[in-house]
Amino acid sequence: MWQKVLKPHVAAGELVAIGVVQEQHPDRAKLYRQWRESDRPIYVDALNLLSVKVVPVPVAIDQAGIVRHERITPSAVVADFVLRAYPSTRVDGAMNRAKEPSLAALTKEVAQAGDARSWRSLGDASFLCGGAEAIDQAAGAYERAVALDPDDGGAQFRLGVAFRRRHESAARRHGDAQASVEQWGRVLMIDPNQYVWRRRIEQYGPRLDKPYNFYFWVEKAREEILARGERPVPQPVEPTGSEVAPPARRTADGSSSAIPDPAPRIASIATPRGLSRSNRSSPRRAWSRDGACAFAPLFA
Amino acid sequence: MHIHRVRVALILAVVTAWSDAVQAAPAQPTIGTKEGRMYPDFLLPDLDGGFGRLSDYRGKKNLLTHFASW
Repeated sequence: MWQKVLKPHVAAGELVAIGVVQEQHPDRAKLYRQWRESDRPIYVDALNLLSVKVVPVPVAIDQAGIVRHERITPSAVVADFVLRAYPSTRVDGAMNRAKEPSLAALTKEVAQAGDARSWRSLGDASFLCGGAEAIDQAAGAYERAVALDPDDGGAQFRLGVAFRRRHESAARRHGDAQASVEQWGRVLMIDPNQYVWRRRIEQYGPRLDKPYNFYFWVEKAREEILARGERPVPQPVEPTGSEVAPPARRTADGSSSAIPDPAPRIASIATPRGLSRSNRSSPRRAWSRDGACAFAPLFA
Repeated sequence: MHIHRVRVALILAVVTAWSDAVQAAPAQPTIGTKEGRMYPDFLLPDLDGGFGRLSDYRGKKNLLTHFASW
């Protein structure tokens, strides 16, 4: 529905569609993008840094960055947003511009302030750097953060994400998988209604808690990609166990709860087919592996 | 007397210019996710090994969709 509605406007350059995906494994999002032949910029928020509580949420933002609709529908997006003129808002270029985190500065900050917030920020920066050493740093920083502020659900959630990421890496430690589930369990005690947090524990926790097969689409995606003559994006970590198992819980009539909630959980942000690669507008930033991410181990 | 007049004129000019600048400067929008506010910028990894900001897309209308692949 979204694809059909947005196609002419994206192609005409009137609109940029951007996705932020809540996903523990970025490679799965990449496979999903390939399957849907999406050409849109998609960003991964495995840690839920943006504090998203529910998905999908399509937000209409005007050319100056002002929110015009907090949650718009496919039937309204053209008339109520794309074709509507908004007053030009002069915004200071430096205002509201996300800064590149500096691991050196954050390391200094935790040494000086040593508060929960600075440890959490160090955990975020370490996690985003990637790599085995960085995931150890991230988990250690989040552990310090939650020790200082156990009520910080965001830090508690991120610690679970880091444990799970480490469990699936060469740096795996005994007990990481169970630790992530326990961690997310604590998170739900803080906010039982946080849908994104809840779904993460349901993906990896007891099968009984699963409302549906979360990655039912992976095999179907591979089949369709292969049928197109393409090679599916490799998955270093295959969906296994509770991630793909049908839920054990049965309804009164004996059937499993095959219908996910809320529906649809996957927003159709796929790019219209035929849109050329030249239309991609995904800016790159150098903040990554070799610059700001070079840091000395804290938890050696 | 002449010097005093020049000083007064200079002070008036400075005050007028400052006043004009203050009046001309538009109020900056408040940052937030509610309607009418400026959506918070973010810096996140993309799917191709890079990073990107929402603010890189300013100048065009954006449909920002938070979604999940599960």
